[in-house]
Amino acid sequence: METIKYRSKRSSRVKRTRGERILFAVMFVILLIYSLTFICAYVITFFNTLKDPIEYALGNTYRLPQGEWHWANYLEVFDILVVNDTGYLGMLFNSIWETLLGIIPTIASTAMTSYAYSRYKFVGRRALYLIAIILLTISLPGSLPATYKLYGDLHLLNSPLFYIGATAGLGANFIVMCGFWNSVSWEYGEAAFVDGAGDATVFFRIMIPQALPLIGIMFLLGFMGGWVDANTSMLYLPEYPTIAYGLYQYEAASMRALNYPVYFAGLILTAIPSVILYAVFQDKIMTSMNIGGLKG
Amino acid sequence: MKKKPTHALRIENGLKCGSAWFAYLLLIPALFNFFLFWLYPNFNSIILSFQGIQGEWTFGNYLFVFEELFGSSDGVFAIALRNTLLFFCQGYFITQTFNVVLAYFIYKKIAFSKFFRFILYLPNMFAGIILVSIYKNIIGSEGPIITFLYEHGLIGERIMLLNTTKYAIWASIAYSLWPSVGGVFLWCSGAMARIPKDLLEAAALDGITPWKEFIHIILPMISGTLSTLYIIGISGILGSGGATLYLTFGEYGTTTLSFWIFKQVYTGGGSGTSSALGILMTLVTIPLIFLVKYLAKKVTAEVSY
Repeated sequence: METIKYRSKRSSRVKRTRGERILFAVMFVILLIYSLTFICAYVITFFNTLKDPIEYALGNTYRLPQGEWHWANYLEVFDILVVNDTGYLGMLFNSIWETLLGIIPTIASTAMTSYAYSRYKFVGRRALYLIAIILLTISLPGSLPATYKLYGDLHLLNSPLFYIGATAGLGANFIVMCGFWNSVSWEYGEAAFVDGAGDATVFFRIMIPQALPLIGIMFLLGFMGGWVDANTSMLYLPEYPTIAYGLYQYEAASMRALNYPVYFAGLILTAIPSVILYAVFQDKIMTSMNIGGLKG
Repeated sequence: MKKKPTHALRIENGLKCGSAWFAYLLLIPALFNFFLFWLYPNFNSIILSFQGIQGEWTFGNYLFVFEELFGSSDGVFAIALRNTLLFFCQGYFITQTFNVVLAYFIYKKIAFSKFFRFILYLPNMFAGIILVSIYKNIIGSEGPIITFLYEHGLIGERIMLLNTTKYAIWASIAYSLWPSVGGVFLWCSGAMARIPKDLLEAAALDGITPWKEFIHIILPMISGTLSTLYIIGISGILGSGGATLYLTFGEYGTTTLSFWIFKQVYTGGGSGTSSALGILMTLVTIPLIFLVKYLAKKVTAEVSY
């Protein structure tokens, strides 16, 4: 009974049986329809950016623009989208520095903590892992008021110093990086130690370079997550609105006077950086992250 | 000339001994963060939950929460709890399962798999407000869906789904279902990518069906990742809430427990009540986490590769 044949030694693709082909065809149709819902939504949104505001307000919310296409709406984004006296370019700048300050200390702290846990014997090592598991598995939504109060008491609200709180090194990425460090051989490190290198030299010059691809992926995911985050700016840094928060605030404040075509143009411009990053690095992103099981 | 090591190099079970000071040095930022920004606020929230507006000691916050939860079915917390559980069921059972299945088909290179992967994960790259704005436009009273239903006589009037108490929560849940490919897909894809190809090739030569391959090879091989994801998922049970902030700001019967807390902080409301609510949410969640952890341990296969 012949069910599966390899096409060639070079290819691992297999000839599917009839049942498999039906299953994959059904799934293909489902995914195609599902994907089309997004594509149509994006296309409609794009066309909405090219409409006259009055045309949109009169009910043309999804058809092609009637008459002239208003490409100038994209330029108007820079004049009209102003939140807390900050224009679109200002919000763009805020998004960049807030995102970078939010992720660089976190990733650095995670790399350091996970390396210490995975490579050194010290008192409290098991307790550290237990803390990481607790942080990962127990959600404490009730601490938000107290956390907000703490930032207020420390005068960190509406200040770039807010990001001294971004040094958390025991989240999900800690587990991921522990798995990575455990897979890295000690050989180079041992050789360096024998040659007289110190712990810091081994960490920074031998171990960290090996972890750069994973750190790069974490940076990318963190950047994309930070870029789209509105809540942090909304709650803790409203005087430094990011684009995500700015768009929300602009929509909420404008209500009926909202210039939708310009607003949609702002949405599209905001999405471009993270979409480009994702398009370039999607293969790496999809295959590099592995969390495995939780011990303990 | 090579420097001599200052002390003998000793490594036990892959762990370097005699350099604990360096490990502690590396831990300083994370421990500083843990103690100051996690432990202290959480301890403080216990105190806040027993304090009234003037800072007096009281059980009033807890009594208020219980009254709103169980006093009547239209109490704000009763509605919030119902909505939270609806969002949780959608996320934990439907979305999470779909993500695992999708990761499998993408891994098995269904036709146009890269295209699907790109399009379906793409919404994660957008700020919540972007996708919500697109969604609001699509389901708006002048949008294509309502227009189609209205013009074909399926509805008598143009409805504003998100501005009507009867439909708002379901429109919110529908939104959460829409861009549902996310973290679970990412983690499962990563786990599946690590499965040795030889194993699947051997099974293929033996004529294994996709269903058996999925059940007997793929799931056991990624069970460690899955159990972690389901444990983390259950921990967020009472924090579930979709995009309530952007969709409705909790109006029209769509508030959730976590959004209610967020709204209190955002609008400068009573921190005592929200702390009390949060602590009760945590107390309810912890036994569930241990239960899922126990069950996950029972069904998780011990595999290493």
